[in-house]
Amino acid sequence: MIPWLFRRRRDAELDEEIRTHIRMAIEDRVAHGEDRTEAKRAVRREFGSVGEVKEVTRRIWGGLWFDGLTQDVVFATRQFRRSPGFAAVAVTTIAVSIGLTTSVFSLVNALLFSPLPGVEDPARLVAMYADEGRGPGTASYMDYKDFVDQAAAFSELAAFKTRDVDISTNSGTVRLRGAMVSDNYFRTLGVGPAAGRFFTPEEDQVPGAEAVVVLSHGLWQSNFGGRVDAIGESLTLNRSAFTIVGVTPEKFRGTNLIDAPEIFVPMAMQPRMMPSSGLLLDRRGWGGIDVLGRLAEGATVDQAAAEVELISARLREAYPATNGTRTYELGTFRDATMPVGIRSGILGFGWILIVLVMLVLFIACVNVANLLLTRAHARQREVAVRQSLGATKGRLFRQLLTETALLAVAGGATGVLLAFWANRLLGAIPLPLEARFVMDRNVLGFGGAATLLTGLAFGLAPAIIAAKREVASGLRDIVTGRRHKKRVSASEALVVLQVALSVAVLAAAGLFGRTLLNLRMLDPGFDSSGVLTAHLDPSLQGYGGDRVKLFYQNTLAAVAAVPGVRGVALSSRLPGPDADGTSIRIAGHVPAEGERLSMQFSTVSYDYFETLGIPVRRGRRFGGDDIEGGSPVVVLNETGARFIQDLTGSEALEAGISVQGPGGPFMEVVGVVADVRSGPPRQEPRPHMYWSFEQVPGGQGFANMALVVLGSGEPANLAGAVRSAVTDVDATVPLMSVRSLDAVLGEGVAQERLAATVLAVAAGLALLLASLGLYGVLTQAVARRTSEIGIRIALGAARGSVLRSVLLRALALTAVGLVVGLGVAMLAGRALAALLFGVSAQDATTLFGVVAVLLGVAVLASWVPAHRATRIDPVTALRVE
Amino acid sequence: MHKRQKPLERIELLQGTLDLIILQTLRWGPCHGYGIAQRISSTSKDVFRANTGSLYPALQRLARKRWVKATWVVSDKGQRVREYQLTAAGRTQLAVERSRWERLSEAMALILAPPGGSEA
Repeated sequence: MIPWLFRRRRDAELDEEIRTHIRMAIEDRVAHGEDRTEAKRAVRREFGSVGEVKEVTRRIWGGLWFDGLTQDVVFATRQFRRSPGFAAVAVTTIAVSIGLTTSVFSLVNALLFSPLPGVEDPARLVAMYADEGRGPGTASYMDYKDFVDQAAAFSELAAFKTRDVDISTNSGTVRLRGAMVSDNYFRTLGVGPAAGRFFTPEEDQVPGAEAVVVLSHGLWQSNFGGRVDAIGESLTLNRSAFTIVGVTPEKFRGTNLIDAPEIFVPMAMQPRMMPSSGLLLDRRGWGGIDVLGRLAEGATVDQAAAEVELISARLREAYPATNGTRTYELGTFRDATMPVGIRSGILGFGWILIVLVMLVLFIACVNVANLLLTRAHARQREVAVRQSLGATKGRLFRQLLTETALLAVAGGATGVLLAFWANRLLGAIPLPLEARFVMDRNVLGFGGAATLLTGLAFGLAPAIIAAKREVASGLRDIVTGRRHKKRVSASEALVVLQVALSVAVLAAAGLFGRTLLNLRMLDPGFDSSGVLTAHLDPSLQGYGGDRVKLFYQNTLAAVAAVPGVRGVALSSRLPGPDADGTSIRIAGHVPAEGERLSMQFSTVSYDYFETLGIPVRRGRRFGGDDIEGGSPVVVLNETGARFIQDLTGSEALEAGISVQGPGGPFMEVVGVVADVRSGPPRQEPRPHMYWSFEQVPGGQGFANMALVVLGSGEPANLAGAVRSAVTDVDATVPLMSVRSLDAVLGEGVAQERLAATVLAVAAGLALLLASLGLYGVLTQAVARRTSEIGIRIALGAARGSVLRSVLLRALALTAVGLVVGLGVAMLAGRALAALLFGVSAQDATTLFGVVAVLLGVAVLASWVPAHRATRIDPVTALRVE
Repeated sequence: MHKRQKPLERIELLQGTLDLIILQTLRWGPCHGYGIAQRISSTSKDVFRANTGSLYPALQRLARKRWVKATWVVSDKGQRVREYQLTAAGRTQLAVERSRWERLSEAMALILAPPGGSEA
């Protein structure tokens, strides 16, 4: 503001000075006897244009920055309106690549910078863990209460526990993720209700007393249509009525990126949320609580940690029986939102994606730079004329930079809008995460920064080159028709760079595509085709003991009777997600000091192996004798059998395995079945044992069983009939996640699918940009060589040889780019290696394919300019000069 | 006339020359823009007509280089005018410019003077 005021004063002074000058000149003439009117006219003529004198003088001042800017922008806009094609291509190129980059960044951002939307000031939040010598774990509620009473370093200390919950409505029962939270949970996180209110301290006082519930925004919308009068209505959770008191804001997704609760109830409702466990809140030994704290005003993490340690020691002394080995410690809130392993995996993956799409952004910059160079070439007459009319180099430079800045801003703004749209498309790919492609301040800032850098990257060089040209040489070149060879090779070098970068992006896309394919083609060890899966859990509906088993037996019979069902079985888990291990003892094997044997396990019904087509290698499947009270048996997978054999030195069949302490009974290995891929698709099979469903006593172990149904047709077609069969057994038990087994397996490769999708788009874009670049440079080259080609044709050169010479030029440029690009791709491959599966980062087939695609595209891109060259009419060509 | 002269004035030599002329003019004492223009044309017997489009930018340029100082004063005719005055740095610069000009004109004279004094 100050320089501007300053300038106005100087302006006024100059004005006064000039007026005085004119007045004095007139007075002089009049004094010499001239007529006043005549004198005025003469002086005006002599003085010239007042405006121009002022303008020229002002330029000496400098600091016309703002004035010049407006002028530049107006001028640039006019320029673009005159060549809309150029502007459209440039803006689109920038927009698409910025859009893609920003969209991918938004995922990384969701994980890295703003892990939990809707949580206020997460930097002041900490997590508190109990460690009993096995690493940080969940806390005891009784201990938590003591911390609330004693700790001063926290303004709030909140407890919560996520838990599945059954919601029953007229249309049936569904299972949702729920959370029990202390009354100050939302206050701790700084979250306010979207409707109604959150919990009062009184509601979190007496266990089981206040049946109130807060809904997630999503559930409120889907089940209550977002009605405000839903507040106060009743909702049946786990067979008891709860009163709806509030709704969380739309942005709030809980405090964990893996699952977002749909239902919140006070911590005191624990007995109803966990009906089979009874009241646990009053047991100091029960440690199942997550604790989050907000640091008090002025308190540091170190102070809080010291205080936690102090109180932890006090508790150890007061309750040696339960707290003897228990230490409390603080962790960061961010680590609490996602297991560290998952986080780093996804982050590494996200960064690689970012780098690759940045390459595309860079290719786009190169393209626009090339367009600008071409334009600078075409505009040299304009530039030369403006220079000769007195425009300084700096002024011209600024003018050109304004033009590119305008392109960048237009492209960037469109790009960010595109990113909004792209996020919706990418968001449709199910990730094993709550993190979503969200646009926030970080993402918008990233888009802005990318735009700025883009503008500089593609705008600076052409502007310097164009403005640097000398007036005289510029005019001379126009007159003589001479062109500068140097600049042409600059564009050619840019094209080589583009091809090289495209090779890298294309190779990455190819490798991820093949990884995805390999993972999907991977033999899982069972036949997933035609198999429908669903989960069942009657435990929240009051089932226990033998009733559970009866329920499952009835369900098996009911589903088996559905027309089109060829087989049905139960398993305590589906192949796919990692299972828990249990420690085991093997008959005849004395474990070495500190040796701990463990094996994964699942409980399956008779027909499980048959339904999924898992072949029996040795021994037998479960049979009608493997029931409760019969001789205990177990079936191993091949890896498990090898594991036993390696330990004992003898065949696993007939070996004894015990999951109980010393002295407990052994189970006999009666069969060995083929390995089934479990856990993430890349993971090798692990030792696994199967127990017979009929033999395991009923009880808690049967919460949440998976139902696998083999049908003769499309699995989805069975869903309705299976659902009604289960409803006939007990309408209150929810049938959850009804999907084909193929879909379940597909979720395991969601990350690869995302990578392959993003990279396919990126690679397509890179190819398109590189071919556009090649096309532009060749068209330019042909235009420049018009007279030369004309002469050659006039001298009898065959059209074919002309065509060949242009094509060869294109292929030469492409070849150089390919060589450089392949080198880059090989090096970059190392960074990708960890994310690939079944394909080497230097996979020859992929790289060969990339080369072939690029060569093909190069020929296509150069075909039009090459043909144009052959059609040059020598007479016209020579007349041009 | 103004327009025709413009490209020539952009030539380095002439620009420097105008600076020299202005500095030389101001050696006789402070003067305002119009006065400088008048002095230049009268001293050069109207060979040079200081063009206002070059004069004012030149004055601003000299002021920026701190070779002249501009002050607002009231003239004897009661008019508020901006007077330019040579500074110490300006005097030094004038000496530099003068010696350069003298060397230049000597060299020009040598080149233009026919050898041996005979022309044909």
